[in-house]
Amino acid sequence: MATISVLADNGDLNRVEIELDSGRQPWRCLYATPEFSEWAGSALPRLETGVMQAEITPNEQVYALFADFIEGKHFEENKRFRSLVYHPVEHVWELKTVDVRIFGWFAQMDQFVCCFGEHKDVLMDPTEVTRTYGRYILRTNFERERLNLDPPKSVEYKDYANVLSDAD
Amino acid sequence: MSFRMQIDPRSRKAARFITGVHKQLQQAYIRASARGVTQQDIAEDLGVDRSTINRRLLGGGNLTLRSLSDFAYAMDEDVEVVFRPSHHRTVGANFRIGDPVVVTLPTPTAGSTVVTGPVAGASKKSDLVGEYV
Repeated sequence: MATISVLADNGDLNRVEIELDSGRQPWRCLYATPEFSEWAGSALPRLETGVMQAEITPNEQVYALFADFIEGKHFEENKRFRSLVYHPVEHVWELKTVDVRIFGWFAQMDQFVCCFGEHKDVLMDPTEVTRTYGRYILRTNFERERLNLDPPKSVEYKDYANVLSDAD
Repeated sequence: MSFRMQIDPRSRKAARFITGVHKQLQQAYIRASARGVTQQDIAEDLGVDRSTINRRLLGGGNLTLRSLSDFAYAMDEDVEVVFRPSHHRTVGANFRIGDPVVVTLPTPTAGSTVVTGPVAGASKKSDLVGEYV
């Protein structure tokens, strides 16, 4: 068993690094599985906005979301506009942009592990049988169980206050 | 090991600004809805479908200055855009120059290639932006 920092040092996880706004310092930590890193580096930049017809690309959306997360910005808890959703079955959390959904978990407060990413329109497509919400949630749980991470491997609470602290 | 997200400065600026505007719009709607204003009210005030209002509130659609102004009118809010000098195009980061980095590259045949090591030729942060090794 190992800490999340050791797993990042030995390559089982990657630290997600991004440029931040002028004068901002990192407050929270983002990690990614190798599979998510692969998706974010190759598939994500090629995705286009879907039925929502957003003004910015999915890649830009994810960048903005990650920057807000790392800078410790407040995440809106209003059900209609929240960009972080808890799935109670496997203690999986979902980061949301207009077009993208990212499944993962909180290893500790302010430490999120990105496990899988997918275009929202694919998840909502009734003809898609393999790339569904339920399947990604189960796969996220499977990857977490497979990881040689010190227990408890995830924060098992549903409230933002248990998983996020704000910088401001 | 680390994964460094690749995005050029122009896209980065657009991403933060546009998502920031949408968040402010959502905050304004939350305030307005606490006063009893509904999406249907806004749609009727502006003469558009409720689905248009819903899409724009959720971050979709084309938000023009006119549509922002219309939202402000329908929600009885004020809106302003503030420009200020940006002394540094790139300042903050959650990594240090010279840190080892893993960059995943899209390739047309075999998926992606993983390259490990300092970003080639980078002597300052702005060198890193938008470059693949």
